[in-house]
Amino acid sequence: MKPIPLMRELAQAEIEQISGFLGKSLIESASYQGQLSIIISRENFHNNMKFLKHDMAFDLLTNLTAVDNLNYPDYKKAERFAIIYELFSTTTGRRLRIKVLLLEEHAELSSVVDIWKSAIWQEREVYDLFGIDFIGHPDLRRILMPDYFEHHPLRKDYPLEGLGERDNFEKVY
Amino acid sequence: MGIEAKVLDLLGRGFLYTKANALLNWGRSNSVWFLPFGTACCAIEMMAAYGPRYDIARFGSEVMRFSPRQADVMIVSGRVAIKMMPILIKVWRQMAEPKWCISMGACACTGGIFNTYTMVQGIDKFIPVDIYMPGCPPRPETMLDALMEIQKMMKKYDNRSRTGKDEAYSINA
Repeated sequence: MKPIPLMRELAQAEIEQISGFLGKSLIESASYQGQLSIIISRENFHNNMKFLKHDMAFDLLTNLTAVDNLNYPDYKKAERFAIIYELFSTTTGRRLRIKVLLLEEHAELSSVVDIWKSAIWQEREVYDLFGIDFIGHPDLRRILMPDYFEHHPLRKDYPLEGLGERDNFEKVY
Repeated sequence: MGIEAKVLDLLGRGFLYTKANALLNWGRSNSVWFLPFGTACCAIEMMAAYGPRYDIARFGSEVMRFSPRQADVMIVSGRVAIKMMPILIKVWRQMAEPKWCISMGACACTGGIFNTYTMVQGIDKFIPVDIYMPGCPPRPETMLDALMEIQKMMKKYDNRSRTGKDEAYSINA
């Protein structure tokens, strides 16, 4: 069996195929070292991800994470959170990075668990630490913090030293 | 004259006499059973103290017990997160009296470098600690010294009272 190359640049034809399908959903794109990073809109998001899995053969979700843009110099309220998906194709060796921007008051996005099964724990982690609601996730519970925890600690408006959770235990003397 | 010397002195005469309290404490302090509550790198140094190079058995502590019901001393070696603290309290409560606690290393004593929302800032906020071991992590020699300090406390233990601990040693008195 021929080994799969770890990184191979996207061909021009593939880039055109992706941008052609995404159309108005494609907000911004940038390329660095042959890796394409795109920002896509929330509308039609689930369909676009399905297209990338089934038609562009991005069959492996290597990473799913989030960023809180609060306190950034050019922060806009419409771009409070960014959800980042890193895709890899085990057949062609291509990589693609996708960013979706979310509003502060509507921190929700449709789940991709039905497309990539590996998203199930990663979406739980993003929910736990950022409070992003993934619609359609089969089991959206906390994964790192204890169940009784009330906040989402990686949000920038949550203080580093917490809100007294660490001092709130029973004293045994 | 120590109790060991008394035994040697009386061996030829066929009998010895002592107080029940002193006899119990003598036996207990020369067979200290530890409960290792190892959560981080301090536990590695604790294991080194039990290994052949440092050989804590020379001083009267051979076995570690993984059941709290069979242990005399709990060693909390490592950082304690807010998710672990209820478990630590539960384990401490399951230990039979008389019991002692060693807080090993900077994290267990004060939280160490982890001044964040997840980390308990010193286990002595919630459970009574008898010995604080400084260091990050402490050397096995410190562990041997802690054992000897615990033995001193055990020899002063009053079996008639409920907690029995000497006032001078009790941190939270």
